[in-house]
Amino acid sequence: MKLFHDNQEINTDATDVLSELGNVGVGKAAKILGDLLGKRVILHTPRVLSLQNNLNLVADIEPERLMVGILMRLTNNLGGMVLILIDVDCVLDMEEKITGVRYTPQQLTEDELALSIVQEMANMMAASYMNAIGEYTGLRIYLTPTMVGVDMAAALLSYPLAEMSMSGENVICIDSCFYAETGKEKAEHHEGRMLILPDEESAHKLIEAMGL
Amino acid sequence: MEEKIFVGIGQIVYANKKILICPGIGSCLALVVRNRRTGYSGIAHVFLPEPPSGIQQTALPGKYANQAVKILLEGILKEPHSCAEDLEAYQAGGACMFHFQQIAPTNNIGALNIEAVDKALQDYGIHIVFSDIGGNQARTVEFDCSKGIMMVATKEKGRMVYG
Repeated sequence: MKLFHDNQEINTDATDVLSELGNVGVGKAAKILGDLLGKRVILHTPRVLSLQNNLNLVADIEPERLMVGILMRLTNNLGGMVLILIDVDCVLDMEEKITGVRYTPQQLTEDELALSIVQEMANMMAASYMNAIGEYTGLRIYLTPTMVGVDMAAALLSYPLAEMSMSGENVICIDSCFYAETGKEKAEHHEGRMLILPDEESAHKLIEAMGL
Repeated sequence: MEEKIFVGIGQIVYANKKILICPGIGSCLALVVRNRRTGYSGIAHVFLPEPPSGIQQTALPGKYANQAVKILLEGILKEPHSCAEDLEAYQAGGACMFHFQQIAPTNNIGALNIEAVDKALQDYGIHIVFSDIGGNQARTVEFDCSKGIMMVATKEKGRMVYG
């Protein structure tokens, strides 16, 4: 089955399947984050978007919100990118819980220990996401080492969108939001997001593996 | 307080007496062309240097650097009695958001965007009066059309104003 109709509209049967895959994946990833934080993490159903006319995907978040972005590439059976975006305070809370030290946002990329904890967290989250997808589809998916940036959310988010769009306009994104309790006020939540951007060929592999 | 207009990725916006804002620019590039006599300005939120092979048309006029510069200049010159000699350019953005060493030069979209915009401006002979480009920090870019002032804010250095 094709991912895009001839009129460039995205095929909704395909997006339903990809959204379901994303749901399974982000569930596993959020479980890891919840365990690390010792807090409840709430999930939203993932949505599947075509990047063609949805570049303002970026506009859904506060563009200047200070967040930690962790970027990985998919290799082996699948190609593409994974981006995890988490509120900087959420990452600092988690690091404090593990090390007993309250780092500054700047230290997250400069302090060796602080950086390696972020990378390890992202590795665990992305690996469990991809394991779940691998189990469903029978595909063997590997991840490259992580790249970390701490800055404005929109800037971090636009990088993988740009890199994937270099190869063509028919790129899709499986976008999942999650919210972690801060533990302070009941209504207060840390925001997070996990985006999977398979390249065009890989997106087809995924829907074919799901029997479409 | 003058009216503020937010400019999303790939958009081109023209204005006379407003403030144009591109929040959270990373590898993208905010390019402003202004007529220094009249103050009529246009901003393009450039996303990529050039379209992928096989794609010519896009719904977003400012998405690709080479098309964006052309469309932006045409739009500014539509104003009566304006000529190319009156135009000046301001640019900000083109950062590398993730760790430098791990991104291959061919993948450094920020640097490619800067190169593509500079080349296109040179082809049209437009002088760049201000630029804050490269580096590895996100920027929020504001442009005051009536005064011809670009303001750039980063998370560390705060807000900087350039005339």
